[in-house]
Amino acid sequence: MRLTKVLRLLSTHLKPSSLLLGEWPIFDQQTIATLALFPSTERLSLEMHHVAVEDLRYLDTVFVNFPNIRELRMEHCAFENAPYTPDNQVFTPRLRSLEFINCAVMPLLLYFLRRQIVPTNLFSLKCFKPGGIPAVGEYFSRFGDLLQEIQLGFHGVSLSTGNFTLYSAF
Amino acid sequence: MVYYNGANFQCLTGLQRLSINILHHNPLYYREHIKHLALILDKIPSLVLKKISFVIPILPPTPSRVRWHLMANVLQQSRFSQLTEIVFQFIGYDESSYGYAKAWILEDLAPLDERGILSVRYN
Repeated sequence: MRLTKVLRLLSTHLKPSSLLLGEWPIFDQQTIATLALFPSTERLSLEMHHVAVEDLRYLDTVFVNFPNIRELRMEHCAFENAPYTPDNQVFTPRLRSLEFINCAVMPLLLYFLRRQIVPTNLFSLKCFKPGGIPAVGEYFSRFGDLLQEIQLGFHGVSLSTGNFTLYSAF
Repeated sequence: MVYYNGANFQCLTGLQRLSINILHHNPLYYREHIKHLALILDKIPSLVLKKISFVIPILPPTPSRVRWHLMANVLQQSRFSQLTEIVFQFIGYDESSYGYAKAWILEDLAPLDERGILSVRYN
């Protein structure tokens, strides 16, 4: 509650263009609502260490509350592999860049695939696990003609199996 | 190849800039990494690719000759004629083998160096 009050007070003075939400209490509806206090945000970083979000619709909420978002960076984000049906009424952002760092790409990337969210400039995947390769393949297959810049970060060798992660890129 | 399933690089028809970072490595597989970087490039059909950069861990302190000719063969294809910059950035704590790495790349990718589009850096 105190956090919410502080954010409301801050929102009257601050119109940030960049916002980092680290270890955000994402399951609390009241705190989710406070996201709407900063609609000026264009660059948003979400860091969700140690939690796996149950519902991909959480991202719908994020986009609704940040209507001016142009750059999204997600780090250590994981979502449960629950069914997701896109709601066509939900605001679709026009992103310049979309970055995933140490994220469980599956099913996260499928959200962006189904919502048809394609960055106009940078698409970045760093430290993704081999299990996410099919989702990457599906995303490239669907939007490969639109992607202008790609950054890929591989672990040279999969430590658990000894198999090359690079192999999985084919 | 448990995870083999295809990232569909062949669908990247409009790609202009590509960066691939190998974040850590086992020296035993160094040549394999280079080979697969070349194979990835070979799959990309974009005719407008202008910049390619690789971030690669530095070689072992006493490396044996590493050859980049496979990558050279790929990059000399006509569809890479729009390339204006290719960067190899070596990272790591031991700089001692950087001289070898740079010399070998400059030698094996000499045509790109002659075009003035090749950069080799450390950290």
